[in-house]
Amino acid sequence: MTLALAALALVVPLLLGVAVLAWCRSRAAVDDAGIVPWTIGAGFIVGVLAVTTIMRLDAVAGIPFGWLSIGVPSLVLAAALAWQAHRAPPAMPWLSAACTLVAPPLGRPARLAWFALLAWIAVRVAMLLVEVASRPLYAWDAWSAWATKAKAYFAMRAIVPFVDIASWSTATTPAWYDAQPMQPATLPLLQAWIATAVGAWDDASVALPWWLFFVALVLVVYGEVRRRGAPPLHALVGAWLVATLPLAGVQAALAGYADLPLAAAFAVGTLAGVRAVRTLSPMDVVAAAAALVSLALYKASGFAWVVVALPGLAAAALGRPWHRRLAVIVLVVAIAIAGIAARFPKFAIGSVSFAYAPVWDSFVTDSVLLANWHLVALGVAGTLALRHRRVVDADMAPLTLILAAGAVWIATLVAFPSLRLWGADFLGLNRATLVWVPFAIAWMAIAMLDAPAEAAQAEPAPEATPEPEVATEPAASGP
Amino acid sequence: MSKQGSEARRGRTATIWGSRGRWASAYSPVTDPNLPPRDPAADDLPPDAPMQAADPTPEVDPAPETPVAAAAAPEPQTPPAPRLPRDLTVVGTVVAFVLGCALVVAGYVAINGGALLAAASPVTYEAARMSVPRGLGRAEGGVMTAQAPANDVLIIAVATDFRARDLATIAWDVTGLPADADVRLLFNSDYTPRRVHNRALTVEDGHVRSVALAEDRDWLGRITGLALAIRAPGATIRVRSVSAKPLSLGQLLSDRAREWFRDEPWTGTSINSVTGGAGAQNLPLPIPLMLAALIAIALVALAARLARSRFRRGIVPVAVIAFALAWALLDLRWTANLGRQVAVTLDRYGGKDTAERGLAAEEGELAAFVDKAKARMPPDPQRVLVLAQAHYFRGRASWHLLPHRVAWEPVRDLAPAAGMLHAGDYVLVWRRPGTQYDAVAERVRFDNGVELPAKALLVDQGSALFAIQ
Repeated sequence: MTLALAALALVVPLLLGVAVLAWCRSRAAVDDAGIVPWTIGAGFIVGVLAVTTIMRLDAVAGIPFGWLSIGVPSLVLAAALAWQAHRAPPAMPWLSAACTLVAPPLGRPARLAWFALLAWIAVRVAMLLVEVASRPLYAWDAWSAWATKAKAYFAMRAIVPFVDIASWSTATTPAWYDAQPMQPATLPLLQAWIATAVGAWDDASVALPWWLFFVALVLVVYGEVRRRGAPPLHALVGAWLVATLPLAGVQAALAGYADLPLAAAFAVGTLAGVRAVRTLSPMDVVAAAAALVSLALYKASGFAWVVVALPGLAAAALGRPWHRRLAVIVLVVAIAIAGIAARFPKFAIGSVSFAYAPVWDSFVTDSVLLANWHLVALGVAGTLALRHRRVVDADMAPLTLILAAGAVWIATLVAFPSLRLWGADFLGLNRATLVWVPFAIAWMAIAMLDAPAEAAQAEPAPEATPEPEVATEPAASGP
Repeated sequence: MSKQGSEARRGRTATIWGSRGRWASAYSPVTDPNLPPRDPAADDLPPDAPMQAADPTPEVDPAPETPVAAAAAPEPQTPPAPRLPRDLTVVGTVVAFVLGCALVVAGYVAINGGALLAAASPVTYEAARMSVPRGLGRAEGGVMTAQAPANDVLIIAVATDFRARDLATIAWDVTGLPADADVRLLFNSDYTPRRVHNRALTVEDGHVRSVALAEDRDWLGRITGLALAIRAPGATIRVRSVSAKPLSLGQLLSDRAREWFRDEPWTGTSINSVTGGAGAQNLPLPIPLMLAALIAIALVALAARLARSRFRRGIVPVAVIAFALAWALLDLRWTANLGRQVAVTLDRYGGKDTAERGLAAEEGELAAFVDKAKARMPPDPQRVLVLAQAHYFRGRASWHLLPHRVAWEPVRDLAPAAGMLHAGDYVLVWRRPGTQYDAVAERVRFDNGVELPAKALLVDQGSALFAIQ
């Protein structure tokens, strides 16, 4: 019963988010391929933001949390938007997506690969669901920094203040304390909503959203690669790579940290954002905006990932002539950071020191030798080597800039451990990398596609090579 | 079909899988308005259509084999294009990857000075046969537990008798070594009976790496004694056994496989990092698989130069397939580990409700005590300070006490400062020495000297709940 109610509660943000995006799509239709899985995945990110915003409004208005104050308005809003979307064609191609799933238009060997990968992903998702639904919150911060707030919000049916221990000692009004009182309330609110819907606090069911974040991430990568013109099997390989990332699986199984939700929001925000800037399609604009806002609302250090996304979004907005300049800016920033470290080793901003104390060896061990990311490092290096023209063409340059900016940020965290106060927890370098890796896999999958025709035609490069890549590089470039 | 039509068909559907063919026969429609219209019939080829019709791939040298030239100057009597031989890219890459794995294994065995077959069976000396000539230790329950002296070296020794040439790998099953411990292998042989040789060992994650001595100039004759010399002041070391193993293909592979597939259960650090098998590994699995993938790519590239018509898809699909194979093998290991973990979780928590799961967790006793304490407090949130020696228990007690307004020191075990607690506050103490309670005077005194009027609401085996008066 508890699990059923929790599942019902989980469906509410999903329905609301999907309805929002479906309604946006009805305002300006976008292509069909991959749109259904993409909408479900991105819809969950949008829905989480929408439901927690309703909860914030409830708290401001002094309305206690409950089905009536959260579930009903969410469902009414979802129904209204879905009705509007239904009335304005084109309808969401639900049936076509289901057909592709069970009967993909592929030859026999490819079909076998399709079902093998689907089964692989299904087994992984099922194992993680069993783990999440059975185990009480286990990981340290999950019960000392995140769900603490949720438990208090649920019990008090409102958002209550969390403060540090000094303020707790001297507080004259009710104040709560946990290990990270400065973290934002979004994810705890989501957990509080699950507990509210269930009617009791259950350590396992409040972790279910993390499983859905994992599924959403996989769906978004599949949908995004499909939307960029990849055939189903190609997109499924990308989704399989994301679904089988060990540390992503661990973050889902040992739910409760903000890093997996950050990874999902970063993937949606950047992938949809780059397209939104170019097309101004309401669906992409809303999804990207919600995801980028969510980055800052999921975790205090999430704002850094918004900054990481900026060069790519700017490149998409400013067009081809600016790509090289923005790349130079990213490079200059990297050199400037190194320069500051070399010239002013005692430079500090508040409690954050720029002391250079790199942990390259352990970073390389984590990235290459251990099982955290399987072979992502090889994949990124191989993509750069084999598709070096494609990754800097007009279509992909913004994504490559985001990838580079993310790499610079991670390298900065490796080189200046004190900066992890801003970008990650002290022990969590891999957790910071987790935000970047699913995006990097989507980037790899997209890089394996040929440039879309319009990217080469719409933006002739005035200063770059006269021949667009699509004309010079065949589909699967030869040796 | 004109050249323009051919380009249109390639358009956005051309991918790593080849622009068409058995691995990418037909795709869902792409409705980008900027793209030229696709010819669905051209994409929807039957799966078993011959390769010539299904896959005029762009990677093929266009001059002799594609119909482009003919399309540019259409002539009614154009002879049919020659039938292309079967493309071997996929099959060839799989075969090349298997070959790559074999080459990597062979290289690894060669680098370690190993042989194809074992000259002798491995020998294991258990803890019961060991002695501690320097330092203190005792063997109990199959484990030699020894304490390293503060100013001296701990030596754990065992008498042996085997041929050095037959068994050249020495593996100690030892735990508890500090990261900065200086650990050495001592051995003597009947070839140099008056000398004790010593070799440095590498400490990783509390263990020592096994050491291969096949190339060692002193590893000769019959080995008559092995010992472990440890300089790690105060550390408690546990040794289960030492094994002398042959450097054969099978032995090396089974040793590595044991490391790769060692169970890796959830721990407090799992959320930060996944090791992938044993904590210390001689050869982490990603390395050989990465090398095998690179070798496979090189082999297929070489084959493509020799028989271009058989490998028409280019290097990118080859790289992708090799990469995916290596990834899949790595993930099989991870899936197996996750499956074991799911079984453990189900065994522990399966079918239990919320309260039962709390009691079944690692800190079940604490949860039960906190439940009793909560029953003695008012239901509305109260200010509670939690004291316990380990930060884990402070944090977990606070977690179970929520939604009370709980405070706890996350880093250090500190008694409350003067002025921190007021009348109406509560203090929960979990098995922490240093807290004294005078039941007659109803006063609680902490180890920092702070003394407050308090009433003990619950006292249970070194744990208590106090209400500050």
